[in-house]
Amino acid sequence: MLMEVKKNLQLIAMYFKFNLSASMEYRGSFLMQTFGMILNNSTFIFFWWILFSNINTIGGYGFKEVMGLWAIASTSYGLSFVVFGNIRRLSQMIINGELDTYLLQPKDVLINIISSSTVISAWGDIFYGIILFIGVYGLSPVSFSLFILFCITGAIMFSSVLIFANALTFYMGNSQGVFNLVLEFMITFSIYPEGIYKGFTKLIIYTFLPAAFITLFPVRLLNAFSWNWFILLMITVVGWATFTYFFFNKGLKKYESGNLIVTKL
Amino acid sequence: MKSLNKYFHTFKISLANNLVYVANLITRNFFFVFIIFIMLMLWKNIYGQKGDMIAGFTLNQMIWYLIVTEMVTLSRSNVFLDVSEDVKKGNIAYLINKPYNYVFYCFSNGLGEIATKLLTNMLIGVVIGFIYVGPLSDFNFRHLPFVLISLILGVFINFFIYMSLALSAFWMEENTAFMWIYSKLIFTLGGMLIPLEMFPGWLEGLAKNLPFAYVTYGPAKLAVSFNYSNFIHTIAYQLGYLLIFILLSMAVFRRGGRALNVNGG
Repeated sequence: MLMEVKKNLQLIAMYFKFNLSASMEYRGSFLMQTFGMILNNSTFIFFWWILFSNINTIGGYGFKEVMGLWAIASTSYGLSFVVFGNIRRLSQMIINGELDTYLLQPKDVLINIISSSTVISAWGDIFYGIILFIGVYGLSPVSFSLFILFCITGAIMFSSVLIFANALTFYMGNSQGVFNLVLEFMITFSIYPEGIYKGFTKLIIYTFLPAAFITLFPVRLLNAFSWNWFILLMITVVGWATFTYFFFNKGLKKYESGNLIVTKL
Repeated sequence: MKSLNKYFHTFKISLANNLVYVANLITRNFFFVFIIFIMLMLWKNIYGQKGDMIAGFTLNQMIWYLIVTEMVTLSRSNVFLDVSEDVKKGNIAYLINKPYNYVFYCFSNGLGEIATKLLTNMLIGVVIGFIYVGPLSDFNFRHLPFVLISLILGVFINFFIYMSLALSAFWMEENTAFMWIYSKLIFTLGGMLIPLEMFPGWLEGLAKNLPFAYVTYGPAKLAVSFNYSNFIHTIAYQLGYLLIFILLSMAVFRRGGRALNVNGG
């Protein structure tokens, strides 16, 4: 089991190195997309700055906590798409019968598929989150280490939910629409203060669309650490990742190959 | 008058093309419903702390204000990407030798898409406004035509700004950064998510003189608190900016046309 995990981590690392060097081939485009995304995200600071100049707290959060939400959400999202870039096209790949080449290779199918592509502009999200976090929380080793850890758990959580939405394609046909909606919901729910969510919406962000475990829980832990909440967060992340992994592999048995001839370089 | 017939026919064809996909447009507007729902929760929380009135807006007016700003921004056509592609891929060579003005051809062609989107967005906006916060308080139906004029002018200014920016492709291979920056200026200085009255005094004064405010803020403010002097002020600014951006896009096109270098056929 541990050997399997180690092998998969090595595979992810190899793909990461390969994708990074491929992105750097067009350095100008890489830098433009990265800085463009940083600039794009920065405008939201303006929105919250204006809001907080009119009111002290929103849903129990101050400016610092909201920026904390943004930092974790942005870096988690960025990590997901830099490391597992094929998540955004997984449904289409299933529909088009593009999984054949992956099924023939002696590697874990899911990890092999999702890691084999990257999204360049997502680097901008990673850098933006890190810069924002340092700007607001400072460079304390403890809080920065926690931030990095929460970005990794956030990325795993985020990827798990998106893979789940994609894997629905095995069961119900093209689920690209569901994926787009889930992506939109997960991002939006994770960047607003928890206190604004009430009743049914609150239930949703803790269950079906677990955005709470990507940013809201971590920010709570950054402000006041508690081992109980921390363990609950870890259990939830591992639980979602395991569930998604088995859900995908169960669905994979329903996969029907197409007659499309593709070349995977 | 006869010379305008070609543009009218282009508009008719574009409208017919877009009406085919009207059901698709309505389902895509799920994002509109969702983002206003999040805004409702956010502002409910803020109003819960600050009282019934913020920057001269009640909660009811704030939500209707946001609905109108979203109506304008979501009703934009694809002109930026279409024109940029025409220029970059060389299709422009087949479009500029036709007996029409390219800028007005794009406008009449985009008008069909804008009209379809605006109508569906207005329909959905009114429905969600009624469901979320009830009818707009103190709204007088006699003011509706005036608000509509301002709303349409806002959409037109938006179109010609995108057009002017898209034509930069004559000189630049990668010009999408302009689109990102402009859309964020609408987001911030255009008052798309926050009315300008909430800005610090100096910034409010500055923003109210810039064109971005007359794309979104102007029509939305008129919709939620109409008065004739504000209408005349807003329309005067809108007509002025519309004229400036029509002339600018024509001038950029004329200069770009001279820089055009077509190879092969």
